[in-house]
Amino acid sequence: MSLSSAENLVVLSRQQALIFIATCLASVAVAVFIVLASVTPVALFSGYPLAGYVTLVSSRLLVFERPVVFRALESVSTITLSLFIGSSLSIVLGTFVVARLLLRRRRSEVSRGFAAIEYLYLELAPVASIIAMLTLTLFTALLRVVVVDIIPALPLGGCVETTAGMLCTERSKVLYTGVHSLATTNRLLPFIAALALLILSALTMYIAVKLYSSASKVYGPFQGTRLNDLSTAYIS
Amino acid sequence: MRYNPGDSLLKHGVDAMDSETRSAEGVKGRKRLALLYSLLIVISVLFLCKVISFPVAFMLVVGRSMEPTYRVGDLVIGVATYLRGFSVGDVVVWCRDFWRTACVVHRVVRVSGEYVVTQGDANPGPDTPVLSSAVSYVVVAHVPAYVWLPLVVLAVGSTGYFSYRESGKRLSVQPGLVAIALVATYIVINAAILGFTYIDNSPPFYYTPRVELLSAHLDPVKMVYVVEINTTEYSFVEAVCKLLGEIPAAVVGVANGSITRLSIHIPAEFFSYLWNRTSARGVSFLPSPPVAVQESFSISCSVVFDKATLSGNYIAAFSWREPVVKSFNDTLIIENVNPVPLVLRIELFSKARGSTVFAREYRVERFSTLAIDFSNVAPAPGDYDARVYYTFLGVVRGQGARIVIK
Repeated sequence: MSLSSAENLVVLSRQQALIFIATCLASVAVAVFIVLASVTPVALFSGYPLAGYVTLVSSRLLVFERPVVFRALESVSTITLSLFIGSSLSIVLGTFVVARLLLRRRRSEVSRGFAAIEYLYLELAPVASIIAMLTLTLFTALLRVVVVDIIPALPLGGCVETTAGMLCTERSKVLYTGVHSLATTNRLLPFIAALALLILSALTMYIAVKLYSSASKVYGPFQGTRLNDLSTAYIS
Repeated sequence: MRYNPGDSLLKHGVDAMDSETRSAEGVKGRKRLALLYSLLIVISVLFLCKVISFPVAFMLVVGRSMEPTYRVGDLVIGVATYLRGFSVGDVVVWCRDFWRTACVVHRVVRVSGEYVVTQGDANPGPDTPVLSSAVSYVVVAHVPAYVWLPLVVLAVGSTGYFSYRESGKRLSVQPGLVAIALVATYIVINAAILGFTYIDNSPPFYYTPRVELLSAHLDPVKMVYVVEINTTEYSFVEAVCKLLGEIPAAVVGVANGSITRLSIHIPAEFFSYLWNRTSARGVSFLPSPPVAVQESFSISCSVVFDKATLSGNYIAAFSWREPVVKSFNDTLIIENVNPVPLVLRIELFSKARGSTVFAREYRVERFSTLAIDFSNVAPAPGDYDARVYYTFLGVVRGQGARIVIK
């Protein structure tokens, strides 16, 4: 099957279509969540000596009313490029497949005029899901680094030794957001979501392969297979 | 191409020429593609060269520590340190890990023995010293991101485009291939990003407010302890001080610009307390008068600024001194240079009579002088000895002076 003639159509049952749509929507939802969570502050600081916010993408922090230079946060900010690439891929692929599934029309070339979709597009559903899952794990890892290693290094207040004695400042107020809780109290949620995506991608991949292989058993590989015959085989 | 006698000779000739042209274009296209792939492979290898300590390596700047010299995304070209030495001022690359995936591009600020200290141009402080052997490359050139990135994108894009043109003729897409290709591409992109970056674990650099102790001294005469603190960040609000950590003392704080001056009043009773305390402890050995015994006490202050509190412990030191006894003809002069009054017993001994002709107790106030004119109390002109007895820090001591009454 050459790329220019990749028009092999498959007919999905309603249940299968729903699984594919659910997988794509879950992938898109997770990807959108990752994007939003990346730009949402992990922690907000107010008061003295620390004021500002920390997000995965960028941070603005003032310590003793002057900007702080924190290379670790800059490194995290650079790595978030991976999150945006992964999320974009998932969103584009997931949305595309959902659109294709929802807008699949009755094809005249398919027996009895069943609504059919090109097999190639079905493959994109598990791809979107796997990429979303990988991006989510990377997001979780980065968030954990920020929450466990980076934020505790910030001076929330306390005492500093000076030549005139111990200078004790007030303590800054910290507001930890829901994103922060994903690495602490709710740290199982990303794991569950990633696992769910993995299961969905495995399931969709299995369905796609099953559709392909059942057609191959009857008619051999797609090369030269009559599309109306193929679709009839699927629904029988 | 086969010649059919039925075709016209002209058509056959045109077809043959077209076929040759297409064949020549195909060869040219494949050569171009091979060249592009070679270029991409060379670039990729140069990026990976630092892992194997290749003499020349490309590295990507991923942090802002070297701004404005190098910006994020700039490409730096390094020459291995086994080919080119480095000195203070050179920009070098040292790595934190064995595989040289987490490397730092910073300027050398100090070389001492086996250690090298580097610092990012934009960093307020130097890095932790590293072994000279950890320095892998010396940066000899750099290419800004806006120059090299478009060129690489152009090379990758051209390679993709020409590959597509070529592959469309020969390759076929099998089920699953697109999925695998997409996931693999994502993993490669991730590996590239994560491979070129690392999480710099250096601590945050931030300005710490300066609170400096300019001076702290005791003025026993005025009975004040003066503390001068220089702080540019905070405004003085109030201060509370305690002597020996428990006895409250009155404090007057005056802020003049960035300098806060605390005048801590030491009550006279406190000096008496110190005198009694030292007296009670006892002094082990006192040489011949006049002696000085060092005394010290602590003052703890809590200085409240607008945004911070300073807790300082300051030591005040002074000396207990024996009274200075002098005579001038018939006058005896006794100076008390202590912050406590002294009680003295003064006797006038007549050498002629061999007995004491005058005896009386005096109280000499703190930092004051007592002058006694013996001309009125001496029974007759002559030589006398004035004997001054006192208790100094629990030890009964005495001094004498010659009095001549004419």
